Amino acid sequence: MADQPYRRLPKRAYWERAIATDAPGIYPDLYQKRFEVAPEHRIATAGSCFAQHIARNLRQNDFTVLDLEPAPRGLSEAQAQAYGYKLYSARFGNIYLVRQLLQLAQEAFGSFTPEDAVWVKGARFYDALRPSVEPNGLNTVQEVELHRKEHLSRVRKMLKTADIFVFTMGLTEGWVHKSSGTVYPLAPGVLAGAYDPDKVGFRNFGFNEIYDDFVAFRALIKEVNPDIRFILTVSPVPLKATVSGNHALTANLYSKSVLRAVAGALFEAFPDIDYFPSYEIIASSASEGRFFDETKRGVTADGVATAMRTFFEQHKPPSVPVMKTKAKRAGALVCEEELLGAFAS
Amino acid sequence: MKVCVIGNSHLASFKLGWDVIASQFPSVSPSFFGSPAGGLSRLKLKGATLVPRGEKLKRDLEFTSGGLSSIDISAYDAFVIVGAQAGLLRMLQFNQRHRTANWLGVSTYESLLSGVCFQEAARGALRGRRAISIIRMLRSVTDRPVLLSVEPFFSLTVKPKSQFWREDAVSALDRMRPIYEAEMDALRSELGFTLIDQPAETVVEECFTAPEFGSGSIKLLEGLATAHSDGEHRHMNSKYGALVARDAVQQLFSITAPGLARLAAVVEAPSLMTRLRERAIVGHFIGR
Repeated sequence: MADQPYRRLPKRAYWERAIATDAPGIYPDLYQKRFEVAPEHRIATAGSCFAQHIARNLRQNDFTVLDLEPAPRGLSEAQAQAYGYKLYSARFGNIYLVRQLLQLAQEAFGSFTPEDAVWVKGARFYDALRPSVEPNGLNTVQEVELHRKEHLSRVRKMLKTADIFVFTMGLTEGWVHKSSGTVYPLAPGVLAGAYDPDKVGFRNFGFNEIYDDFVAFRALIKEVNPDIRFILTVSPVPLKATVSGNHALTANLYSKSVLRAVAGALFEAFPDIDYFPSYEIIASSASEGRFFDETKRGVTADGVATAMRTFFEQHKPPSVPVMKTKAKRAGALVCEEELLGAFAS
Repeated sequence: MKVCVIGNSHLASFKLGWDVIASQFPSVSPSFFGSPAGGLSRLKLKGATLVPRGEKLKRDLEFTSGGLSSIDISAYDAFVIVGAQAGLLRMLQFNQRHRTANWLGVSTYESLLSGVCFQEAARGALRGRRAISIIRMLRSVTDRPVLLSVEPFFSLTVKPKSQFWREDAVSALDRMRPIYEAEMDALRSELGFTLIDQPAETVVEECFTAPEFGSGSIKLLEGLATAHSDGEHRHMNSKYGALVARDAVQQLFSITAPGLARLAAVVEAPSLMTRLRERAIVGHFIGR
């Protein structure tokens, strides 16, 4: 019998055998690390809401997760998170778009200046690039600028010192200041600011833009931190709302498909970029939707634990049993995107 | 009157100070329980007893109390918490680390906070102090008098070493005092304790302790004979401890018998009448 390329492949290569599992969501050999994440590696985390789970689990399992803007003593866990602390390695809030990430890094290193970077609501002023981190806003434009200056110094330090940067891609749809290209994490008017269609427009970033943005981000960071490596994930959390004109279901699948394709292409192109398949574990048909809650959007605690278990099987936590990741609750997330739901009814 | 005195490293000064004045208050029988640094964080409530979690705290409790490894709350008529992170000093240190845009100071700091966040965190930090945690545990099982003796301001000798203490501290005091007083009032109302402030005669330049009360301070180590190294500015000596201990005892007396404090303080060797009246107070406490 003549040979053919699909013979003698490992078990993981055949769908039925690959997804056959006794433990839902735990697929043998699904994730094979490209490089080691050791306890002493300084890890920076950023991304969309789902990235908060990754950061929290890494911390809980004693990995060295950078925190360049630690919460002041005295705030409860909930208070700290409401002010944007303890979510990521700096207080930038959720970074849904790769363009947002690129602009943050460019701004931190002085090659980009955002436009209309202060939003107003009543008599309060908000940092338009991270409007959720001060729920009550600040007193003046100058105060916003002072806070941002300090924040950027921490971001700079984070990018210079991290050994591994974990980024979770969340969305392709965003809001862009037309003349400057400044990308906002939310549409003006949702949390603060005012929506002016002459100044700000909707943009659904495509494969090439997102790919190029990450390549540019990587190059920028490598200039100051040549040994840094990256782990990319795609958030399994569907978008909350779309203004693309498409049905939310198709808009979401398009968005996630683009992001997944970009992550895959980056993985293929750069040996210092790894891809962790949290999206596949939680959102693929193999998991039959069991890791989503009743909204079919929120990821359950079990889903988070299952994804992180796969991660920790490859990156062993320091002297901590893998099952420590079996959290009873996923932990609250701070997601500005949830605000879009308020406009649904 | 059996008094339970619980404290962190500042307990050393209090204990040595008590030894100086003890003969003036023969009816007061204190038991000391202490642990330096964060040791008291491992003190937990089990039924009506405060028990140590861990050998280190157990050993510390044993050496400070003369052999007791736990605190039977029902065995005491009153409680004095010494230091344990309480006081305006800790609020100044909070401001040393965190600033707001309307007051950046001149010294370096860790983070810039919004005004609202600053207030919430400062109040939360005060509520989370170890002394408050201990009082909460006590209050869950007893309504007997509880006194809280605050940590002293740093000795004036700290000024040459730190720009914050040299140039920012007095301004910080103006900002932090209202937050401190409002939150402490709320805590006193909630938990029912009496605050013993730093003796006024020991305070210089608004938020420092006069150096004479800092020299010769002793570490809370077995034997109470190990001096702090030169340059120590956090801990005070027995002279300071005597003033605080006297305040504490007078406060305890005044809680139930305002006139007695004056009487007890002036007699070197208490008269029979004084002893009888003090005994009456003991009876009052025990009878509660």
